[in-house]
Amino acid sequence: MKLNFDVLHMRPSFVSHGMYLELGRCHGIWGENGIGKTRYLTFLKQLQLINPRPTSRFWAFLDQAPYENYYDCTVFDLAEELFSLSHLPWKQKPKEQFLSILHQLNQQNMLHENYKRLSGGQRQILKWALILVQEFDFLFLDEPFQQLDEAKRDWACEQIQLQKQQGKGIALVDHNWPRLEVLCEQIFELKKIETTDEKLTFILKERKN
Amino acid sequence: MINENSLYIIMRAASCFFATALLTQSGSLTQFVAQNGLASPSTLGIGSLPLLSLLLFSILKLIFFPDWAGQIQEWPLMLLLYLLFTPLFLRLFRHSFVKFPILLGLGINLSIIGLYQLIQFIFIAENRPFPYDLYMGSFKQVDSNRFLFITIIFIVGQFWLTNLQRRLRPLLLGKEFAEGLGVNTNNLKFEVYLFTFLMAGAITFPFGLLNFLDLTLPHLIRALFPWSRKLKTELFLGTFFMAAFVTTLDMLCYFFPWKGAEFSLGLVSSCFGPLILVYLVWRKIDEKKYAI
Repeated sequence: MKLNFDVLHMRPSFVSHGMYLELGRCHGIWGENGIGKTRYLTFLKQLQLINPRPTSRFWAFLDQAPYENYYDCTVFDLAEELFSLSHLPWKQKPKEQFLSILHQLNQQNMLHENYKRLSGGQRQILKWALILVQEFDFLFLDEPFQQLDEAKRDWACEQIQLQKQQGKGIALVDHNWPRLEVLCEQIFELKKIETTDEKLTFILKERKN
Repeated sequence: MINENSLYIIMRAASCFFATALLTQSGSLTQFVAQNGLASPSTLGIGSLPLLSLLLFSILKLIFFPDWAGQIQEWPLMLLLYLLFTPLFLRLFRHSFVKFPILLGLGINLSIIGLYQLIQFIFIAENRPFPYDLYMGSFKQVDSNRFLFITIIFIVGQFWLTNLQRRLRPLLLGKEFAEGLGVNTNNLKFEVYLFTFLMAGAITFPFGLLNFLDLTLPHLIRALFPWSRKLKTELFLGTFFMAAFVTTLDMLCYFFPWKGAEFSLGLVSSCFGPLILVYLVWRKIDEKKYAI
């Protein structure tokens, strides 16, 4: 379970590791700031280490980076525009499901707001709503609870449990150890063990609950 | 029967409409994929690549055919030479440009303009005629060949865009969101840059450089038509309105010459384009109370 990061070329050079992602389970990734959790998650997504490999290979990714909107348009316009694209991996009736999620969270007012004027928390809710209307077998979540209030965090935890029950696999990066313990069947810790001029060596260690 | 002058005016207006529409569409596309209001074929360096081709053509002509009187039209030859750049473009843009478009574009623009001035100096020193026409775009030299060529390019361009805009729309919430939906954003960006590369050549060689139109017109569409704040409406409806406006400007240049000399559209766009852009940016700063 050793992973080398080629810092110079910003690429993880894979040696060997035993982290296999499984459907119906939640795998937590834990580690200090700047250790490379996001990069590792992206790496996993690229490799699609899903075991057993599903027939359809749809995955969804909720990342940390804020979404940009080049045009000044409302959330409703954005949703209409995106859900009209039938070639994207949306579930059945995505617009209705999207509106129902916002209604459930009492955030329907946000629909007529300009996207650029949304708060950080509202943007995170929008990310969640857009993720949940996608068809996927595997969900990659990079710090999905940031900027959410307590009630919304609980709602997000419920969604993760619900997705697991539906047989979806989840990889979750979070800094909150107790929450990881509740949500995940398996937690890996990313640790830096040595530094040389060009390479940093990391150890991915499974931590038992 | 349509007389020769009316036919010229129709061909000129149609060519201006088609070329301006393609330029505006190139600008809108590049701004959308780069998520940057400063991106356009002129700022990305793509707009100055035809100038490089013109320079090469002029040097080759000076070396190998110094006494060529120019019996045939030169622009198709320049366009052919430009198309030979495609492998270089593919190599340069495939990896570097999708990541750092504006910075590299600026570097390319400045180097080509520097080279242009150097070669212009050599031509003047050698007492040879230098092809200035291309530097200031104008539709006054329109003929049936140029008209037919730009019409075909316009039709092909619209078919390409109809398909491309649908694939581009997941980028509405940025690169990360689109990639989360399984979209290969680098390939899409590259396709947009290829579109602008081909369109820049197809417009510049027959009619010359029309500076700043590709940068300014998309901003003007967004300012004048707030309902067009969607990629599809901006690319088609908004663009056609703007193209009609620029065509009217070109007609004014034709019907109202200054002491017998006609203003070129390239000159008008070079003068007013940056001013309109400055006004729009100021207005935006005033509205939102922050700097862009």
